[in-house]
Amino acid sequence: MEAAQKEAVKMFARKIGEEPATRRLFEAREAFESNSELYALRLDYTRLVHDLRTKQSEGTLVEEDVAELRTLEQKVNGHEVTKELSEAQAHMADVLQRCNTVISERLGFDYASSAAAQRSCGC
Amino acid sequence: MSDSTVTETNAADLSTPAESSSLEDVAAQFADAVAAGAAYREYQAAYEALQDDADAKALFAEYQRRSNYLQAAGQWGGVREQDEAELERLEREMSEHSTIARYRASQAALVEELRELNAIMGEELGIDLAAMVRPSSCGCH
Repeated sequence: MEAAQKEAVKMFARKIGEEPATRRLFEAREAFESNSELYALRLDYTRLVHDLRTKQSEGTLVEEDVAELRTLEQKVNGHEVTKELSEAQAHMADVLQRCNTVISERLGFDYASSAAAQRSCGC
Repeated sequence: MSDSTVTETNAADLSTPAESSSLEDVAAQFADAVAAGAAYREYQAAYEALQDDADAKALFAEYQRRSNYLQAAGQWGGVREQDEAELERLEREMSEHSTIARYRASQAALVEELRELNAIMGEELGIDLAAMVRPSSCGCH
């Protein structure tokens, strides 16, 4: 990799870092990690998923268990902090998509698809 | 010219585009830096050579046609052994074709460079641009 490219990507990263969308995302991430009420819900959810998997393998899973999981899932997803994180992520994705469009038009191919780390889709 | 004027001029010269340009401008500058690099230039040259090579283009098109057919056939379990063998033969022929081999190698080198750049951005920023932007589905389903 050439020095000019390295400098250009760092400058680009700095510029993205100055965007309000980036600050909003970092604040939302921080709130998501530090909110004790949400943390407790997420912990309950993780435990319940684990319990339900055990029950499923034992053949003792009942409809009420699944309903309980759905309720907890709705509580986590419906929490203000989670909703703010989702919105902040969507806002950030819009900003990055704008950048990707500019870059892709100049390069002649979709930058994000090529630059993303290889991932197996499992198909 | 006073000393303060000189200082101001120098400061203006040293201001980075990140401070004075829009996000789109800086994204464009990044794209230009990629395009000016050896990997991109080789990729472009290899792509043009591929476009100018009728034999390579025909082989490439045939491979893609067969590959798409096999992918579709795989969905309903209609893949035959001779289809797979034919695809393997085309794959071998392509890997031995200098124009195609050059194109593929240049493409792989460019992708590697782009991934490295994206990784640097991820380290600097704490955000994976490529992962956030590209479609979450692989399109297989």
